[in-house]
Amino acid sequence: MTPIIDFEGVSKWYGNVIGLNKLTVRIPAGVTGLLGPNGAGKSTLLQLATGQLRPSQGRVRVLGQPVWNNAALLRQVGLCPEQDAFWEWMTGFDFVRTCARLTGMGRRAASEAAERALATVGMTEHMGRAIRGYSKGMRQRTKLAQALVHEPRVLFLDEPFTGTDPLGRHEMIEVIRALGAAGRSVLVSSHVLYEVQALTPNIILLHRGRLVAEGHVRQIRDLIDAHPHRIVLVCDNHRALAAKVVAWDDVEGVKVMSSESALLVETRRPDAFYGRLPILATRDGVRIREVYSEDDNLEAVFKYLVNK
Amino acid sequence: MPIFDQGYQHWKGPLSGRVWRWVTIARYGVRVQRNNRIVRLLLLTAWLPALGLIGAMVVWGMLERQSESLLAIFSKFLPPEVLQEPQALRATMWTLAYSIFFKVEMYFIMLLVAFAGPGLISQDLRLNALPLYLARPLTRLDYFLGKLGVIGALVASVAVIPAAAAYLVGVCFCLDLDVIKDTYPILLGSVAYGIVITLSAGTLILALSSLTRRTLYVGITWAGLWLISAAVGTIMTTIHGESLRQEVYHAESDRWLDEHPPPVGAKIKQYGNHRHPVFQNNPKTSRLELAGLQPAQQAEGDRWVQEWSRANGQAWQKSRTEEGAATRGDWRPMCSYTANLQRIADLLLDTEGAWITLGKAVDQPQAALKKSFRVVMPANVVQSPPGSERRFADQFVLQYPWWWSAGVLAGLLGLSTWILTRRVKSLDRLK
Amino acid sequence: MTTAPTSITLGPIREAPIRRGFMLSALAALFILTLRQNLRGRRLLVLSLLFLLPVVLPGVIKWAPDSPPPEALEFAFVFNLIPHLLAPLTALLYAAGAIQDEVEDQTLTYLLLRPLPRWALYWTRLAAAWLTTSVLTGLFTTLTLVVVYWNTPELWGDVLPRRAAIVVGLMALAQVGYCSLFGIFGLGTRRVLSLFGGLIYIIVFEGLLANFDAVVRRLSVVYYFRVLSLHWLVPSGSTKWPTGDPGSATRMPPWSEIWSIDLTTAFSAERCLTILLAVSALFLLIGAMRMRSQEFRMKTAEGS
Repeated sequence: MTPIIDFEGVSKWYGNVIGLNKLTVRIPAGVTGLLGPNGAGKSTLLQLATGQLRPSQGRVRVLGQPVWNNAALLRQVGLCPEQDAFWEWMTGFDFVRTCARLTGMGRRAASEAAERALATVGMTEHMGRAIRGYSKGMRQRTKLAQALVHEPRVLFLDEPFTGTDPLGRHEMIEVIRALGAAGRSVLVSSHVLYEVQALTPNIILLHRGRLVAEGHVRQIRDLIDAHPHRIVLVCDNHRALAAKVVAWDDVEGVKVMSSESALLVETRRPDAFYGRLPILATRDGVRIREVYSEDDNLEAVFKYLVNK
Repeated sequence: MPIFDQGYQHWKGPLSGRVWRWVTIARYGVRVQRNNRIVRLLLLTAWLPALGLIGAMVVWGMLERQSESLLAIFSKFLPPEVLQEPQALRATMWTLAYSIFFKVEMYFIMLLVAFAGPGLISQDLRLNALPLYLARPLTRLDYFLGKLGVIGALVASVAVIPAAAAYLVGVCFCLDLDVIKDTYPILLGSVAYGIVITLSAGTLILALSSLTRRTLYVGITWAGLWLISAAVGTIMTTIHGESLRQEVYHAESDRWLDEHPPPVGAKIKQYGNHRHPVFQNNPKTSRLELAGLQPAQQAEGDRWVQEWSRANGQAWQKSRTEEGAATRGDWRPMCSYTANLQRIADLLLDTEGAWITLGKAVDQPQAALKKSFRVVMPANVVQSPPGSERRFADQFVLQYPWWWSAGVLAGLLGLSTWILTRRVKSLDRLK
Repeated sequence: MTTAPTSITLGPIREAPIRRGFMLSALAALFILTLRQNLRGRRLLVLSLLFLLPVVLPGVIKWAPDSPPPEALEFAFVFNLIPHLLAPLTALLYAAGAIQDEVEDQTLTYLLLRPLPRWALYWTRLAAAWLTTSVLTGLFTTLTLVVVYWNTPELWGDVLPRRAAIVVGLMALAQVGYCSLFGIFGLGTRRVLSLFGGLIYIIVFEGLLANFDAVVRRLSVVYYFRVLSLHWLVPSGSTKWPTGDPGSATRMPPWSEIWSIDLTTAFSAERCLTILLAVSALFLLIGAMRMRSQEFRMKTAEGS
């Protein structure tokens, strides 16, 4: 399948500072999360993908077309930028409609599209007010509406959840999911892992301008099996269990978590470890009440990868 | 085992005094400006006139030592009695050198303020940095003083410090320490003028800077105020002087024409409300003659033309003198912002006194000297009768009362302060 | 509280509802947006106050007992103050701000994201800046002329129908030159540099060098403005003020003498027009090329 977004050996320098470092990544259709700490190069990537910046090296293609100075492509692309900037004196509706007009829509079509986009993000009630009076959450929604208004095939959202309250965040997550379900490709950047995790299992990890990992969370987890896998076992007689598992070759370390009556086991061969667990329970009469991996959340994956 | 608090630690060391807190803001502002290439370039260029000033002081010092080569050059411009005892004119010449130096330096100060000043407050408004200042134990006054300090540092570095340095060099090149007794008012005047510029230009640019978040607009508005007010001042003064002069001239020549009618038949043409004889060129004699006369009347006509020319010259002279007298009450130069500062400089340095002293010392008008000062001549050129001791003063110094300008500057200061207190408030400007 | 999304089940992808000739429609929208931006805010207020100077001052002067003739006031205000200072400063404000204001406000992204070629975006913004500055200068020039010639028979006979139209046209022409030049200054990433460049140009070229009878003055817009004024507005004022008396030392020299422009050796009107427009077109081209290759970083609040 041809990728929607295609970066090939892309570097971007700002003077002496490097924004992206020989990045090669192919992002397929669907919703994808772009993760990384502040300064990882997420915004640079999004700005390169929307033609705001020109790569210092390498090639950027979106929907199979080069991006820089390709005005026609921008009809299919929408961006919700990170900066909290607007033409403050406009009303929300005026702002979104103006953006639609700038895309080339006629007056009526633009008005209708603006109303639709604002309804999608739940801003219908406030669209007649001046933006300068909006709360942070309302501003984020208006920015999202502006990116949606011309119904682009590919959407880039740069830190869309910044400043939103939990309810607003939930609603916005719903909107993005719906966009994905409607067949649009969405690339969402964030430095908050659980937000992205709630959106999509497909992630790209960036750190210091380099690609750290890409793919399904589970796939990424597999990639880093060289690192100890942390599994928590909750059982009544956890100290007895500790004595047993510590003898196994593939167990690297055992930590007793007395307060939770649990063991934290580190292993490099999680499959073998999981395979032995049923035997342990049936033969030795150890009553394991709960098994879970600490690594199933993105935070852990991220910690592993960037500390490599 | 001691357990240490890992949380927020209160500062327990000493804090600097209340009075000096603004210095931190000023110091930071100056550091930012120092990193600006244009400001550095302007500062460097602005030191060139200072070299001229130092050169002038050194030359006069050498003249006081009766340097042969310099005496030979200056004997062309200055009368021998001055050259025999140049010390007598020392304070005068220093004052004039300083006055010219400040006039030139004014352009650099205005340019520097245009580049360094606009961002001082507008950037803080734009980046919502104001709360960061006011969350500290700083008052708005500290904030203003700190920002004003940046302008003060720039003015000091292009005007006051070079002036003081030149003063030191001048003292070193003199023979005795009496020079300090003679000339200390110049140093005091320079410092005071520096303070006036800082206060006036500083508060004005700060007020403009607090009006918008866009630095470009502030810079253009400042340049507009400076250049446009200067142009308006010049235009108004010129137009006023010119029309006054014409009125006097026309009245005088019309009166003369009434009292001395030309020979019968001579053509007189009416131009507006003014009459003028019509001349024609005589190809034989290549002279201008009255038109319309019979050949027999030529001799009479020639006599009349001669008288008319003399009277015309007198009318012209009278119109110039009256124009000059009128400048003493002419408010029009005050339209220019820099002219107001200039008027205060003339007061603080006593430039007028210096020009009068020079006028007394140099009996005959020296064309060469006059020419050498023409560069800095103000727009309203005033012609005093030759030989008058005020002839330089009238020509090079603004004539209206100094407190008019002081009033204008005080008014601007008040307006700027009012704008600043209205626009810079604690936290309500957060976007 | 914001309302919950009414419907978050979106339909299948539609092709964006964009008509043929979308670019013209989008550019018209951009032009109107820019005009709306130009016509609001304190900038217009400050400029109007500055422009009121040449309107009010002649009134004040005329009201005084020893007032000079209108031709002298017209020369001082309409042919000196406005084209030398007010017109270029206005152009600097609007043309240099055409792109830079959006960069400073971090809103340029919303324009660059639209399917508009960058050169078209730049030219449209400049066109709006030109219209704004031309209307401002034209309006206040006409007002000044009215005040200057108030209470004279020339006002309705010659000044308003003919003279004002030509002067306003000349100002608009001068603004073409100023806007196309200052637009390039505004494409720099550092606003201090554009301010510096603009001011130095206005002071040195338009203010100083334009007055020297040397080749260098042909680099100033004001020179072409003056030559065209001499061609098209045969300076009636020059012979009228004060009264044209030939032998008098008080005679105000004709405009061409003050400007030291000899029409017999100066460019013809057509040549002036051609040069001014060709150089402006060149600047517009340079600006467009610069805009095509320029990157604008919006992330940090302060660009310099």
